[in-house]
Amino acid sequence: MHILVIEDDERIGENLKTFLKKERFQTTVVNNAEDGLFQAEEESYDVVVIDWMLPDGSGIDICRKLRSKNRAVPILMLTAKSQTEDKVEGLASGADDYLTKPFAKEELVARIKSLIRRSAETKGSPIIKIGNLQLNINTTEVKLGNKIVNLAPKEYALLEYLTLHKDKVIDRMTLLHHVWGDDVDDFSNTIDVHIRYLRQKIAGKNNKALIKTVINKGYMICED
Amino acid sequence: MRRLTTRQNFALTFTLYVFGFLVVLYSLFYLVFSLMSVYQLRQDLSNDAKEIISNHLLLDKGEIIFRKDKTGASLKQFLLNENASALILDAKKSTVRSYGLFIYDNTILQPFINKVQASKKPENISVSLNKQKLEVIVVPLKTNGVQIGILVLGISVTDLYGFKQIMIDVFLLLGFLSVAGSFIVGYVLAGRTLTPLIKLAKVVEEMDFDRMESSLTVEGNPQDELVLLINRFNEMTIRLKDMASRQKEFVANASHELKTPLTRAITSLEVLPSSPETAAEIELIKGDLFQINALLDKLLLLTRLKKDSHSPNKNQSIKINRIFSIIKKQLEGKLKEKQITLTITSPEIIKTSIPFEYLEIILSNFISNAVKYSFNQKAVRVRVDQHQAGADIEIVDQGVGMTKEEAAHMFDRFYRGGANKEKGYGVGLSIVKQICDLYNIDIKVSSKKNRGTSIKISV
Ligand SMILES: Nc1ncnc2c1ncn2[C@@H]1O[C@H](COP(=O)(O)OP(=O)(O)OP(=O)(O)O)[C@@H](O)[C@H]1O
Ligand SMILES: [Mg+2]
Repeated sequence: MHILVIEDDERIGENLKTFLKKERFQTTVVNNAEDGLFQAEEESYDVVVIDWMLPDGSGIDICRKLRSKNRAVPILMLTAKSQTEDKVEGLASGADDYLTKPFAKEELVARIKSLIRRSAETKGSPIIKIGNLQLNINTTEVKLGNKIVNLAPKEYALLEYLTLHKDKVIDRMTLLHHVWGDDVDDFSNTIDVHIRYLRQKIAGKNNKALIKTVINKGYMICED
Repeated sequence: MRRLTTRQNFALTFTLYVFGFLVVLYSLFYLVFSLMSVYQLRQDLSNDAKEIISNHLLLDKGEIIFRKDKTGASLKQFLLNENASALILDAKKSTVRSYGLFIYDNTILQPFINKVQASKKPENISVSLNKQKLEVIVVPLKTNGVQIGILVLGISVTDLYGFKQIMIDVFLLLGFLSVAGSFIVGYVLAGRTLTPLIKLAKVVEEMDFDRMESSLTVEGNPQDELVLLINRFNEMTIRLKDMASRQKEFVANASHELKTPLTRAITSLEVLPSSPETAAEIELIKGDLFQINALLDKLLLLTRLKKDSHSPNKNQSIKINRIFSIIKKQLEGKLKEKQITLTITSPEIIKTSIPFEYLEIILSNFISNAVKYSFNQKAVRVRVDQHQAGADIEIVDQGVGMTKEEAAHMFDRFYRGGANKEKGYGVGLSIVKQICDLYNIDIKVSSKKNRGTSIKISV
């Protein structure tokens, strides 16, 4: 999962990056509205976290601009205001949720996860099932039938992204961006290596591969 | 003695002035009337005397001879006609004839008769005779410069005095009426004059620095004291409003600005590599920071509280059970610590005009106070009854309670009851009060020291 954080306070931004990383989110932090809008438009992110007050504009404006360009990316507003009217304004501008500053780490993570779940059409449930594979995105527990599968963090992140976008072909670049973020070189074969490991750990019924390779396009997870 | 209101004072002063004016006017009138009537009477008397002398008396023979006038009327008839009394004396001052009142007694006239006898000039006097007031003229009867007698002619003025009495009565009645009337008129006038002041008082009473836009307007002479006062007042409200809004802005900005460093500190604590020894400490610091944040939120709320323009909906449904579960979660630790049972009897949803967030603030403050000020191992009971007009909510605790004095101040900003051992800032209930005022919600408090407190509201 790749998250864009638009937050002007550098230390807050860095702190968010640090603990989101611990939660296995790739995080890009930008410090102003202009860069934020550019990033959100150019790249595909799973969630955009926007601070309400930025030095060169308001979070609400970014929100409106993104929505007017039909970007459906889930937006979480960070606000130092706790008044009802502000919440209403924030939600009306197209934000999906808001969180008032200061917040506890757990709260932020929970909100982000819930936004991801909602946007992935899992109907809000943290559990995603594909065949006999079962993945709980809250606890990051992965089960095959009744057996718990132990995955390395990157393997899990890869699997989570694919399952959240199941039945869709995801190209390598997108996977790299969402799972590894910016800290990997585009031309390495990291993805293929991780996919291979994953396939070994989670084979579908009759040992059929759940993760399919679509030649020249990318990977896809689907039942059957 | 009860002190008079300015309005009553005004009216009384007005009445007094009117009364004084009336007295002076009437006295003048009375005086002029009396003088005029006496003058008129004396004029009449001397005319009558002249008529008698020329028509009824013959004097040129050196003695007094009586005769009838041209119409054939005798002196007696003439006197009867004029309702006059007369006395005619000869040169030796012995009575020749007497008529009317003078028949019986004329001693009272003697000094004047002597005087005229000596001076040989007519004299006007007023006398009382036989319980009657008389205006009298004493005239010397002369022929060729020789005095041969004296004519005394008198007319009763009792009628005139009667008239004067009526005048006094009328005056008293008029005086009374005018006093009463002028008091009423004065009261009304004073009221009208004071209307701007009363308006001013109302405005001051309702003064709320958020909604002071209704400044007073009075028409009138710009030099008028009241107009001046009101204009000054308007200027003052503008300044006050300005000050209040700047102060509010400051508090709002300050609270707002403080949120960023708070967030910085909290998020930094959260990424701090923690060892088992420091973990507990870090959690404590974090707790403190969140507590500071809670206070900031309260201050912010105090400055920014206003009617929620986004929900004009009068009868919205509120999931009150969600509020209760939030509150229960907040109070979890405290309830366990004090071994208090919190029982809530409520429908899941109520219909009310107050927005969710505000109802949450109200209930969370009342319930957290109830728990905070309850004795250990007691129960805090919350009851919600939905009815047609809204919902009745009652919060009852068995705790330290409040004296009358404390209860009277519990909603004051920063007020904390005497000998309060609990933590707090005394802002909770002032926020509640503000919200309740905004939505016209009545709060009923009954509390007994060391027994407990019961709060009732209808939302
Ligand atoms: N249920 C109660 N029983 C007894 N005293 C009460 C109760 N509720 C309020 N009070 C008194 O009224 C005072 C004001 O209450 P308020 O909630 O405004 O402030 P607080 O509880 O002291 O602080 P905080 O701002 O943190 O709520 C309290 O300090 C307390 O003395
Ligand atoms: Mg309180």
